[in-house]
Amino acid sequence: MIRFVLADLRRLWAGSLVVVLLVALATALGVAVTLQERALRLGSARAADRFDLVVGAAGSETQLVLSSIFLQPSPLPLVPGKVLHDLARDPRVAWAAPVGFGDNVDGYPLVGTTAALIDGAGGGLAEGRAFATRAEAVVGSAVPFRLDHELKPMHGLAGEGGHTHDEIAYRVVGRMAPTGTPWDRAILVPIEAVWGVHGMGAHADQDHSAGGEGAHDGRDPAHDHDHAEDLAAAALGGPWSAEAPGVPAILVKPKTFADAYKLRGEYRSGATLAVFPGEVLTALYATLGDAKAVLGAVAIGAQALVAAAILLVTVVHVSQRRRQIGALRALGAPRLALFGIVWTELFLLVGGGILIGIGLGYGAARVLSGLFTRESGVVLPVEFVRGDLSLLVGLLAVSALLAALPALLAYRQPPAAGLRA
Amino acid sequence: MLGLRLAGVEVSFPGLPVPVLSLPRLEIAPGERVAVTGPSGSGKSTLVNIVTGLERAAKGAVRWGDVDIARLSEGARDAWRAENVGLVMQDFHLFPGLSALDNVLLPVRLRGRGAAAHRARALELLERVGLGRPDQSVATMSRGEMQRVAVARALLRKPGILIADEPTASLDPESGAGVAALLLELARDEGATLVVVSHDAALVDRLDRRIRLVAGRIAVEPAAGDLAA
Repeated sequence: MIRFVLADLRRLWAGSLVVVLLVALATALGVAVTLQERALRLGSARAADRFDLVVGAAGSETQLVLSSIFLQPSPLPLVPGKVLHDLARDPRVAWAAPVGFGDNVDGYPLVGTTAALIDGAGGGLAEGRAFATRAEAVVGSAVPFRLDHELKPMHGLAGEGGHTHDEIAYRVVGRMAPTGTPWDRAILVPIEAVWGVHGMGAHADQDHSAGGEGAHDGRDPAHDHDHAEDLAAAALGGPWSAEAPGVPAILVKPKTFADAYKLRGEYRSGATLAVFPGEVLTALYATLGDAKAVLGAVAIGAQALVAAAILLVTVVHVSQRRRQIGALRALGAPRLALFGIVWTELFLLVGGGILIGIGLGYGAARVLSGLFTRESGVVLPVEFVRGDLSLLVGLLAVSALLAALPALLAYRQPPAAGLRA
Repeated sequence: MLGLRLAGVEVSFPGLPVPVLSLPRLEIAPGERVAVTGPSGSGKSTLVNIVTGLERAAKGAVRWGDVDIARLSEGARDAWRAENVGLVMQDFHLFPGLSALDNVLLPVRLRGRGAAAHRARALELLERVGLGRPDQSVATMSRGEMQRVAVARALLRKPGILIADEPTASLDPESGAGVAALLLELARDEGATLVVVSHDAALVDRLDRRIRLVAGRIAVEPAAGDLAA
């Protein structure tokens, strides 16, 4: 029987190909939507995984997380330096690192911070060393600059135009291991350098106002005297005074879970905002889920249309084959054999289409994720889960049922009527 | 070799005032070679359908040997037909994409019988109908060759009954004569009762007996001797 089925499909190869392609495309649409949404979820969750608590100025939680963890450029209100000072000295905190944005080099965001983030946000040093002076930088794994390369920062957030900062150049001294997060595209420099460049540091204060004196209290007295010496020999990464300049966000690593909740509670009042990135992502996923529901409905609609079209085509096809079916019966073929032929042909086409569609959908999701990774640095893992298997079985079961309808027509057709036609 | 006895068979279609076939009595002896003639619409096809079990006679008995196929269920008629009837049709009904041999074996394959047991017989039959290349695709054959494949297919399971519905009508006279000769020769050699529906005078004249249908009834049934006259 299978030989007859294959000969028949070969004979009707053009129509068969169209059916397979239609099914494949409809399936691919649904598979791509499911996989892509899952990849976005997993990828963003993994990217946020290493950050326990983010503290920023009161404002949008989503904006705070997108900017500080996903390094999406946006101007954030600043948290006062006192918060950084307090957090850095808090016994419940393992480390607290400021993140200051504002500049970029060829579209790669420059992040002012402390050396703690090389391990805390990046994957640790893969080569070179941590920055030790203001004019040094550590780059993410996806940043194409070599060690010793000199970086000229552009003012303005990545993706915007801006002028070049002539007052400072950074030398690349280290490179971080890849993490699959946006931090692979980041260039880490000392926060003090960012402050300095933007006129927020001690020297700016000293030059323009008396208030600057206060900022120096906790510092090496050498700062007060020689700018050049300061650039080379400053003790970076704190300890900061309560008068330190403001920063857009502070990434905090609490010592324990309990500490994390306590800190979050304390810094949620007044002028500051403390969030668990996971929390914010969950809210984002709810929105993403809605979008997925819409796309999923579109995909299911497309699949239903294709199923209806195929059903129509095959019913017409079976009626066009009345003579052939009648002849087979006349030659003694049992009705079950005819049911089997029609069912097998259709199920092979639809089942084949579904399998090809899963491959196409997977490929499409991979390509989209690759594009996304190149843009944002977030690695989106495209993967199947066990639940997909039951989806596949379900799809195949539906197509088996669909194929049974024209097969039943063939089964029930009186042979004499078919021969007369 | 099976003989046929029809009794009180009447086939009507809804909406038609008179039955399309009405045969109070018709007998065909085992091994007899019979021609069925008549104008189109006279009930020849219905007769073929009734005696092959493709259609069930709601009224009357259709006995081949001891079996009244009018009493059999549809599935049982299919099985009986596969076992006892070899059918040759005007349009051959070969399946393109399959070789001559595969076409001959298709009915046994579709019944789930082992085709291997029939292979040698199929090859022998193909040789007897004059086809030397059993692996040739039927799509590349002439019409005469196609009908020869159909004859081989009809005889594969040594049926007691061979029924040919206009076997030469879609062939040129030369191939038609060849196929007609084959049918007569093989029916005799295989010991099958032969019923041929045909307009082909050359073929009809070579059969033992002729049944002429007009408007669903047997009009005249001239004796074999009369045909020659």
